[in-house]
Amino acid sequence: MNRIGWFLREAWRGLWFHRSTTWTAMLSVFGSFLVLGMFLLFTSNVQHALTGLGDRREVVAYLRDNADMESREALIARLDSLYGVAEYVSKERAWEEFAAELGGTELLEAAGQNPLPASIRIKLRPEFLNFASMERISDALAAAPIVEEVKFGGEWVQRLDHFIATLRFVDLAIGLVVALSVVFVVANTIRLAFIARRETLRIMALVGAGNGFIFTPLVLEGVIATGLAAALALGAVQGAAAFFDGRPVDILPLPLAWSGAFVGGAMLLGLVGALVALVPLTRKH
Amino acid sequence: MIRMTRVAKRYGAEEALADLDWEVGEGEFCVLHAPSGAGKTTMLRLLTMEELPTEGQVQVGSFVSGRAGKGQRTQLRRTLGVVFEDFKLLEDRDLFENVALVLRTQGVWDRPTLERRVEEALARVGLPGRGRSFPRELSGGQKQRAAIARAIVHKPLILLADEPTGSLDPKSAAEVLELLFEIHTAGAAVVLATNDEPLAKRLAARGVRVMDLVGGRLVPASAPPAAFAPPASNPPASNPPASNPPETFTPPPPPAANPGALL
Repeated sequence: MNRIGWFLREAWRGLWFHRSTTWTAMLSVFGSFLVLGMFLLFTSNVQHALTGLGDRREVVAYLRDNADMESREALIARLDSLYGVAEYVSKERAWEEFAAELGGTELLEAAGQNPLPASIRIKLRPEFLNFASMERISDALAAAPIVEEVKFGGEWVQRLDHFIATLRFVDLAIGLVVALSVVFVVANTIRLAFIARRETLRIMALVGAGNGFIFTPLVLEGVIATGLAAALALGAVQGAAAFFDGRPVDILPLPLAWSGAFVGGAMLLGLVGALVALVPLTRKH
Repeated sequence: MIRMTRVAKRYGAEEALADLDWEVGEGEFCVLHAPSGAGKTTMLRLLTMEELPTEGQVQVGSFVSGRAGKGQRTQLRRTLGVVFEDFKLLEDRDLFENVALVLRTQGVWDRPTLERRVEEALARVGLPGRGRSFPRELSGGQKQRAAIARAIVHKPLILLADEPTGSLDPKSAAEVLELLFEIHTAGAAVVLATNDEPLAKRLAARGVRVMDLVGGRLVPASAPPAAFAPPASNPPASNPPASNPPETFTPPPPPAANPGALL
C-alpha cells in the first residue's frame, strides 16, 4: 500500500473507531449543508426563471417619421458593433405584429392609418443586461437625431436587478454562516479526535513519526466527513427537487456544476476546519 | 553514544534531576535503578528528547539537546528503539501494522519489504507468523515481545526499556530479559530502567553496569551481595558475561566484535 492509500485508510480507521463522534459531527454539518442546499436550489430555480425574462430585455428606439435610410443603417451598424444585435422594425411590420397580438385587424382598420412608428430593437449582449448599462445605452440612443423616443422598461429591469442582487446577497450570507459553522464544528471534532487519540499519536511520535505522518490522517478525516455530509445533504436536496417537481410548480434539480462546487466547497471547508484545529497543535508537538 | 552533562530537570519548583553526569558507550548495557517517581522515566524522556533539560546538555549519537529542532528530534527517535512497561501497542491494529508503523515513518512503503522485515522482527522475538494477531489476543509476555519487535525492526543503535518486565510474570520477565540481552549482544546499546531491586542486583551480578538514581542524582550501585556476585572468571566490564546465569534468564553469548553494528 502506498503512502496516500495508507493515509486514507488511517483516516477511515479513525472515522470508524470514533463513529459516535463522527456521526454527531456529520449530522450537525449535514443540517447546515441542507439549509444551504435548499436555498441554493431555490436560487437556481429563480435564476433559471429570470434568465427567460432576461432574454426578453431589450432596448427599443422609436424613429422619427422623417428618418432617412442612410442614417438609420449607420445607427444600426454602430449599435451592432457596440451593444448587441440591432434589428430594424418597419412601420408595416410593427403593424403586423400588433395586429397579431390583438388577434385581428378590425380595430386598427378602424383607425384609418398606421399610427405605429418604425423602430430599432436592440437585443443586448449579456454584460449589458442590467439597469445601469441599459439606462446609459438608452441615453446615448436618445441623443441620436433620428430617434424620437427610447424605451427599455427601466423600472422592471431595475426591480429584476435588485431582486437578483438581494438573492445573491442572501445566498452569500447563508453561505458565510454555514461556512463558519462547518469550520467550527469540524475544528472541534478534529480537536476531540486528537485528544481521544493523544496516546496513540504520542506513540507514533516516539517511534519517529513526524508531524506530516501524524496529522495527515486527521486532516483527511475532516475532509472526508465533511464531504460525506455535504454529499448526503446534496442527495436530500436533489431528492426533494425530484419529489416536489410539478407540485404545483416545476422544479429543476441543482445543476451538475453547482453540485460539484457544493461538495468540493464542503471538502475545502473540512480542510480549513481541520487545519484550524491542528496547526496550533503542530507547534506543540 | 549517550552523554548527559550537568543535566538538571525541574518542573516548577520541583527538582526531578540535578547536576547529572552520565555516559553510555556504544554497545553498552546499562541499568538505571531507582524507586518509582525518582526520575527514571524523566531520564528516558530526556533521551528521546520528548523533554529537554532545564540545565545542562543531553547528547544522543549526533543529536544534542538545545541544538536539535523538532525535525531533528524526530530523526533522533528513528535511531532509537523504545520499550515500555505497559507495552503501548496500538490496540486498534494487528501486530503487523504495529511493527510496520516504525518502518513506514522511515519511508518504507513497499509491501514485500515491510512483510519481510516485520516477519523477521516477530520471528526474532518468538512470535513468528503472528502478524495478523491483535494485541488483545496476546498474553502480557507476548505483548512485550511484540513491543520489542516494534522497537528493533528498524535496527536501532540504542534500545531504551522503561520497566520492561514490570507488569510481567517471572517466566515472561525472564524471557523478555533474555531478548534484551540478545539484542545487546547483536550490538545495540541497551538502557534499562527499573525499580525492581532484586532484578538490578541480578543484573549487576552479571556484570551489567547499574546506576542508582538517588535524590535526582546518579550514583554507581553498591556492590552486589555475595549471593549475586558474578563468577570470578567474568570480566568486570559492563557487558553481559558468558556463563553461569543467575536466577531465571539464560546468559547471552559475548557481544559482537563490533558492538556498534546494526542488529
